Amino acid sequence: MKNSSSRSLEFLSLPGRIVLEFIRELGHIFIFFIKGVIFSLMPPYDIYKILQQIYFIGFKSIFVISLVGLFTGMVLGLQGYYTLIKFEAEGALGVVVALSIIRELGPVLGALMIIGRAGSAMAAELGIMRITEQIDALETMNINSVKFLFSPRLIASIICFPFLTAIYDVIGIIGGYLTGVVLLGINSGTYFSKMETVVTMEDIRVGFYKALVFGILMVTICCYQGYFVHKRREGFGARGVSFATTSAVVISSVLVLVGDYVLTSFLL
Amino acid sequence: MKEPIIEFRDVHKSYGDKTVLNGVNLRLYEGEVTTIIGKSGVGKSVSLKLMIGLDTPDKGDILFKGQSILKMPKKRWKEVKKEINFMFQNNALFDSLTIFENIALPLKETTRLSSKKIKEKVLNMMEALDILGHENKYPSQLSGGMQKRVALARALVTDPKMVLFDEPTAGLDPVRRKSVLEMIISKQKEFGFTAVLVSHDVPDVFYISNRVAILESGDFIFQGSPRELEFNEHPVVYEFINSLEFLKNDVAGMMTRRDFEKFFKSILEKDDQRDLYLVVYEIARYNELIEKVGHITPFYILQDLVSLCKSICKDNILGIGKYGPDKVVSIVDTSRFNFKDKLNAIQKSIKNKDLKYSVTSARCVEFSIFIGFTEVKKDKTIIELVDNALKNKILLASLTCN
Repeated sequence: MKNSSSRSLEFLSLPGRIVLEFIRELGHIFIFFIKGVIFSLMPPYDIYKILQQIYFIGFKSIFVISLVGLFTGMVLGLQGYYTLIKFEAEGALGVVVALSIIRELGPVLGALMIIGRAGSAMAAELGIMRITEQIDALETMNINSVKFLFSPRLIASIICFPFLTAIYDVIGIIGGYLTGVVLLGINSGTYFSKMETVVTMEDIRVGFYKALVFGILMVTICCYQGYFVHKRREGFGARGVSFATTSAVVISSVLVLVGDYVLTSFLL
Repeated sequence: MKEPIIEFRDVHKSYGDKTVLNGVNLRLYEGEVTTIIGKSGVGKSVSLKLMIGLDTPDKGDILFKGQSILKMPKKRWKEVKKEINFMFQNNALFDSLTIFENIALPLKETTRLSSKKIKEKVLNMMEALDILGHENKYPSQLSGGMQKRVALARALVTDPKMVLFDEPTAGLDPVRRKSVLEMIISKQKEFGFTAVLVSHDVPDVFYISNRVAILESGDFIFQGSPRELEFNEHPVVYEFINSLEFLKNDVAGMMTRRDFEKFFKSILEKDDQRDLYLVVYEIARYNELIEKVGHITPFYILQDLVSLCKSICKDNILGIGKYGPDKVVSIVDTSRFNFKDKLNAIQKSIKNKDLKYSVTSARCVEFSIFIGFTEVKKDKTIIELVDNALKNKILLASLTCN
């Protein structure tokens, strides 16, 4: 009798425990992020390491970002044209493409692509460093491992995300131009002039704010998952790294989409 | 009294339900080489990690030169950590950095030395450890022994006052194991740092250690010099220092000295009707033999001695045991068997040179096997009986070199 009542009590307390665990995890992630920020501001500043990360997160993502941007723009051009022509408003194609990409698709799809390319690599790299005791080795050498590993990635992400979003936006608009103007014959002047009239600096700023937030979310989640891989309950060693990498990609992707909704509702 | 550089006071550490350290007290002294030995999973590496702050105890205190590292201000702890370095069991080299970058990393990150000075220090250290010429290689391109050298170079490049070695010879073949231990000890003498080793390599570590600590069931059951260890009566300590002997005895089919003594006692207590003889076989020049031909040949000689014992006394033998490195003892029931007749026959055959061999070889090592026996008397101890038996020992077999 006592057993069954304690079991049902345990069952009832399960949601509470899950919520507490979730809040605790959020707290840990936040502390990790704050540490990263504080150590980024503290000397000595290692510019070389930041440049290395800018090269890895930013420069090496340009191709994939451009490719995705181009095809997003082209699809938008096609879909937009066939929708707008029904209302005889195909002249507004440039505006539709530009606003969709600048305000939404650029930051969101760009972030998702960077998560897949650089975020997963960060989680795996830090995870392997953790399980092979390289992070412990840093600590024994009196090297602050958060400053050494996380801070340069954080700064690099803050710098790279808006730039990559800008590249995505420009290439996306060119993609829309290729299908709308070159393929379907809309007037080139109409495509750009309406865009110039309707798209404001505020739209571009919103896109950049989003990119900045997504960049911070991505780098914090991915580095956190890799850095604390040894604290995972599901598995240790290589299996732990695999779980950490998957979690890093899934959590940061979901957070980017949730964050996009929250930011859009505040910034509209 | 000398102040310890590191002191554990009633340190407890558990992981989940498993208690690893249960109120441990340990003292390590400056300039000494201390080796922590113990079975796998008893908490040796945990002890090292607690010393350098990679983990914290659940209860108790750890002192560095009399000051608690748990209550130490962060700034002071940072200074202390500069004096201690750690060599990981798996080296923990940064696989995406070159050998040069690996060794230079602590200097680059924690000092304000110029690039030129860092380069000079790293190259000097690489030269001292015989790894010069591998600067631009990556750790995965080096052998296990080389990687150990790189890890040691990285641990020593900051001139630490204390270096902790977590199983530095794990996974190495005997030749490399010996060279890594030699390397550690020669560098310890050269640089004068305090060394703490976690090792399984009994008895190799005894030769290089000033102090030995044995960790067992969550506590240090022994702390002292290797000499004190040799005379320690604790059963686990005995098991450790004789672990290699045990295997050798088991394979040869002999009891250990301790087991034989117990067995001898039980025989005396059980039966006083039988006529018992203690037979002692002794290999003369045993140490010289080991020195010149290693451990394998003497082991086979011991194994053959046991076979000889059995063939002489057949079913009348009650037990065979090892009594010191060069002696095999057996208890023989002579109630239904005339041991003296058998021995006379053997002596006769020796006179006919049946068991005397001579070899012409540059690598030949002379040795002889003697046999002695004495009647077992209840009022005598086994030590006295062995001495008695050897007083009248006779030559059983010998090898002479021409």
